[in-house]
Amino acid sequence: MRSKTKLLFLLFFSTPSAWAAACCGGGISAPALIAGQEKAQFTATLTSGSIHADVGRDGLWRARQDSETLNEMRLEAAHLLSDRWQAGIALPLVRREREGQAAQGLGDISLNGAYEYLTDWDYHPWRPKGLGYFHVTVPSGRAVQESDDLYQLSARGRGFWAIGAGTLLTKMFGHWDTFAHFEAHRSLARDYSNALSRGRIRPGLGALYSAGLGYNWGEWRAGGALLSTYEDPIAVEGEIRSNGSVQRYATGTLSLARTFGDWTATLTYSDQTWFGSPANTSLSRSWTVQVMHRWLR
Amino acid sequence: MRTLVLFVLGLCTISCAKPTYVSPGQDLNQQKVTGCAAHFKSGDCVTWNWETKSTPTTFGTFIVKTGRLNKADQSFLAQDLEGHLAVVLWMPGMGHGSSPVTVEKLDIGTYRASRVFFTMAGDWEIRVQLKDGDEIKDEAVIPLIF
Repeated sequence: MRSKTKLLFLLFFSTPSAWAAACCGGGISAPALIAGQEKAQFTATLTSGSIHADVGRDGLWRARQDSETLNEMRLEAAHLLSDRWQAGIALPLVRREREGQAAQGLGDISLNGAYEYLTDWDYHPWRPKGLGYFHVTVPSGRAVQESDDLYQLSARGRGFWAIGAGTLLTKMFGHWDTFAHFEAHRSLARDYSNALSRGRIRPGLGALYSAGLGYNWGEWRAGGALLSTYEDPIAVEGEIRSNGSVQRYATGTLSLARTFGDWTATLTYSDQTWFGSPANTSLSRSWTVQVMHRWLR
Repeated sequence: MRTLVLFVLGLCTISCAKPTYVSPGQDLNQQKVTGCAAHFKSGDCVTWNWETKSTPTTFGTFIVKTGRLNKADQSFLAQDLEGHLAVVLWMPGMGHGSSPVTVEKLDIGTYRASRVFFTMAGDWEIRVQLKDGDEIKDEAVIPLIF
């Protein structure tokens, strides 16, 4: 039971919809991490979401009057390199639709390495298991600054190189599992060009923090989590100059998972309208179906 | 399970969103520009008014006039300025623009901007540019809430 719930717990942490698009192309790409007792895992995730409202930098909400949907197929793989080191990759395929128009393609790829700096080999009663990780985001999804189609549907990611580091702390308490997660990242400046203008875009630092818990019984797990996201303003220099504004939003998730031997299926609902005081973003609601295969140590 | 319910209720109590909704485009109805809406760096002036207001799903058109203020009564006098005129819709908070706007000259210092579309609600800028080829020689920035 104990190891089973540990396996289930990571599903909740890695739910991609919790990291999904706030605006335009999407949020920072999430790393693929093994948080349980596996030596390898493969995950396929299908997310379907729609934008419910736009929130200005003044914090006022404006409900969307037309339908804009984002569908994502995300493939993730992670493998242990040694007892405590691991590496992972996440490949998102993104399709955006609005008013009968659509665009699809590769989103931002995430590559990561992680080290288990706090082990829980002795099942300590209160000390958590700790994973430290670093990741690199490859700007394979087009940035919104490069997109000049009518609805900017060709923007499939943030479109910046980014480097980040974070930690994930996990702990089991009987039938309950909990986690806390923090990440800081820095997106790197780049040149851009489109039909309107050309210049250089300068993003800054960003941070994620999240916490959640789940209840496990038999082959089942139900849980909830809250993820808060912050991004520095994106400044633009060149033909057009603007300083940008801070972007922030929070994502609440509810999930239900069931194991089938080495396989696990998870259904998750994510909503960015529940929590926090969002600013300068679009807020989406999404459903996610995730299938994971694990190879135990 | 009771712990989970208490946890969710506790989260709601401390951090539930408290949205204040406004209608997209409602601010456009309050906009009737007289005199200068913005200045170029040269001191010249730009004004504008909607012909057809943009909506979240349709294009709009507006008339842009360049010129100066009459020294006697401060009324607007349209006049041609050096360079060709371009209009860019820009979202300064997000750091991106919208789709290209089409500009045609109608009269002295008078232009129609069409295919005006805002990709999302929020704070926008109408950037009226005077260009020499691809080079921007001067620019006036008109703030707009959509």
